[in-house]
Amino acid sequence: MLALVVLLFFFVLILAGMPIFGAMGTASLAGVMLLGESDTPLLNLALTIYQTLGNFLLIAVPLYIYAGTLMEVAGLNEKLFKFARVWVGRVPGGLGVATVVACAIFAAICGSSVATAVTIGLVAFPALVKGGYKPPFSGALIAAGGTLGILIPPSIAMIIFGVLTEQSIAQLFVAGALPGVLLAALMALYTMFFSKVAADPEPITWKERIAVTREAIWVLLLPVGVLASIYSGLATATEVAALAVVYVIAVGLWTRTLTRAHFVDATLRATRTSVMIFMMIAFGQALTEFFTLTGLPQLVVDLVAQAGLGFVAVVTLMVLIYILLGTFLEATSMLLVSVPIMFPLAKSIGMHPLAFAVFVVLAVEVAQIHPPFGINLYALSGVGKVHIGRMSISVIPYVIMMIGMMFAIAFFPGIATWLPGTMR
Amino acid sequence: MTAEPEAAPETNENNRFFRLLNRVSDAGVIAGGCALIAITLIVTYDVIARFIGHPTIWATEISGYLLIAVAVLGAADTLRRNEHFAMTLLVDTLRGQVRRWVSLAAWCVVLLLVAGLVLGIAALIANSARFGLRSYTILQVPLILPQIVLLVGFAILALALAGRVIALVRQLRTHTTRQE
Amino acid sequence: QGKVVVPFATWGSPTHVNIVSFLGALEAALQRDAGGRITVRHYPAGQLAQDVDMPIAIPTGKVKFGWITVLNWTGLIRDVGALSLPTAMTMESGAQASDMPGGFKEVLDKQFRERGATLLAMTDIGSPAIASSKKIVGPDDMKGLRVRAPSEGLAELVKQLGGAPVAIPFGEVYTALQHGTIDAAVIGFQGIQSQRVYEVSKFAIVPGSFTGMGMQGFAANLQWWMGLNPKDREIIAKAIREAELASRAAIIKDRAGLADQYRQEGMDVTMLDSSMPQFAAWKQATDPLLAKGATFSKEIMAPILAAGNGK
Ligand code: NA
Ligand code: NA
Repeated sequence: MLALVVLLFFFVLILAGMPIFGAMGTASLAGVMLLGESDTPLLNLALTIYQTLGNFLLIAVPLYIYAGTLMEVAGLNEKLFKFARVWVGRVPGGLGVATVVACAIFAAICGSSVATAVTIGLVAFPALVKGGYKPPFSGALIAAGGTLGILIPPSIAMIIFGVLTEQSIAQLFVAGALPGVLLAALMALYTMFFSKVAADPEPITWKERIAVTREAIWVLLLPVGVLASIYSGLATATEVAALAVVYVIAVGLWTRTLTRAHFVDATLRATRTSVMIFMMIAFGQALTEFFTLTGLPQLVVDLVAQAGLGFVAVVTLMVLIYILLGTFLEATSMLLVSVPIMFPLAKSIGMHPLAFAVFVVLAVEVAQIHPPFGINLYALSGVGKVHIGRMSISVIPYVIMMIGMMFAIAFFPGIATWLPGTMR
Repeated sequence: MTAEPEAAPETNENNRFFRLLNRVSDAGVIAGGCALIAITLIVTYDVIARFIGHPTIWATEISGYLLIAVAVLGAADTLRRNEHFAMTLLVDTLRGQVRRWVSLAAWCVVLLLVAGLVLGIAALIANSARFGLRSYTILQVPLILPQIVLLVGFAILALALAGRVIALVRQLRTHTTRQE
Repeated sequence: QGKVVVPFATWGSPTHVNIVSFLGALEAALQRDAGGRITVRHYPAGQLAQDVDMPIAIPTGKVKFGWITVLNWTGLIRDVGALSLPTAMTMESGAQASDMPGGFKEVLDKQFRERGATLLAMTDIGSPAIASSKKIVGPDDMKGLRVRAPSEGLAELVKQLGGAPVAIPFGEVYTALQHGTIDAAVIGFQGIQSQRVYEVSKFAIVPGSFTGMGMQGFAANLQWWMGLNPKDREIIAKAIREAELASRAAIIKDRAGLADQYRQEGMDVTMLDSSMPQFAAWKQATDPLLAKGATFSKEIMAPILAAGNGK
């Protein structure tokens, strides 16, 4: 009961225009005080935030954002987008398809979904609008394409899932690859048929294609380098983010596209973006702890577990619970509150851990593009000055695609487990 | 609802307090940026050192502490640039003066929250200092060090929030006078 | 009399034998003695605090009752470091040294109480194993290897034996071993199962207690504990003691089963014991570290030396 009141209070604060971290913190502090189990709620809040921010695994978050920002100031994202454009631009909705392809390639470099959406969005959005795509359609496409960042390896969401469930992070990464490519293909198909925009009008010669590819070669080598570093054992999944940053700086200096001013600008911007995300992660954890203390999440899961429902019903309920969670929690908090209690439930109905991981990551992706807190939508509205309300409508088809994928993974776990299985 | 940074109310202010606030916010975000560069270098160094057979035992731990610096020291600057996520869709539909009152109330609450958090962190530091708490690793780092970084970050943020509240009150007053 | 809830916080996998056996026995004992009036509410998987956070979370009362790795409290209580000293102790003699009057549970609890916590139970999950890509039997085999070491004491041990200690998070051990980022990993014996380490490293050795003891503890916030109704506290303390004994027995049984399982998975598992020729070499190679124990208090060293050298 208290949990529901606090949840309502939280929504009121959000609607009053309070920054989301403030609303999370205020709601959790009020909730903990009302719960009355703690004599030192302020100290507890401080401790929660200290614990959360001191977690080494989160180091990958600012590093991936940093790599993305550096690529952008060095113009590498432009080269990547151009590359996608000359190769797939001649199909119907070609620019849109090129955007999806650029997102997918960038996702193989970067483990963060916001960083993917913003980095590709900065070049793709103006190009799409200029090419006749409606701004909300373009924004929704990039926001959704950005979520590939956490499905296609490397992935911060998979790192966190791996830590929570003690699964091998490398195996989790591989598990996300095929579903990621499938989802990208779905998005590309949707764009081909529904963008109502013809192929990229500019004719492209083979000579041009080769020239653009040569230009983009440094970016194209990066995903290969990232995966090779992880699977050769050179670096762990977390450490590879730092190598990507160093690589981008080196390429920027080598190709003389990264000036000192660029570097300073990118560093400060990446810092601010990291601050913004970490504030949400830290205060989100505080809110998560409050809900945990009320026992509500456990209660819901117990009810589902004891209802003696079949596989289909439980999977459907899990999907619904995740959509609900995604309406008031940000990605990391969502994983922290749900995985410890949902993982045993998923196991009890016979879901493979790797399939469940992909299932959960897809749920997080949905949360990142559906209102009110779809973080990618905010990011895109910042990039393209698109109205969020209209973008929220354009994003619905992608939400449906991702939910469809969640069911597909539940019923055909092979989509997730096949590739890791071949690697043994 | 937009992340397009609308000019923060305090940007029009120009007096000693706000000049100091600007300087402190700048210093904070620069320190955070330096910590980000340091993390990049340390992690890279660790990978190379391990590759040539001389792994470090300090890199992981130190980068964990630096992460706190990255996460909080730029909080005030992020606020000044209105880059913290907020949903202003509903507030935007309100009339000017009503909207200003709602904003003022919301930011006062955030100020209270962060001020309370600063007290909480101070209590945490006092507790760690009393027991001489150190990390359990070889480095045995006194844990008040990262905790002080946390305190500094949120203290600067509290200051910036106070600035935001002052600016909003002034804005409210200016508009009230104009209406009269 | 009112209802009492014991909030119990753990981290890591909720299916760890130590958690499952302890929690099961604790709940059963409370049900029997208090008939459902006193219940346990479990917060698993680090929902309230991770292992490394417990030394702050318990004394400040954020966590009322939690599962801890005793060794991780070195930053707060120096003497716990003595438990990582290489000794010739067995799990049975270790349990004795823990429980006897003046044993290390008593000694440590006194120090926990000075810092706002109380150590209510101790269970040894057994000495950590060393999983490796190259066979390790004697201490000399560690020379020149890059070895993941999860704590200060174990890093000292790796250095003492001529290896290079590496700090790698638990969740990344699998990948690191698989790709040769490291040559070996000191890891809890159960961890070989939960991380499926047997898939990526061919060898494992549990070198007696020369990798120290795997002491896990069950600690409570002192203020919360003393604030309980004395009758209730007595019931809970009794239940905790039962759970401690039940868990110790379950762990020993579990370890035997695990060793068999790892062998079936194709792993070459060595359980070092005093009958083997290398035992003396391990003792000799690690004795300088044990000698360093002089820096710990006499109270904590007494039971360790008594149990460690006796058998
Ligand atoms: Na990715
Ligand atoms: Na969301």
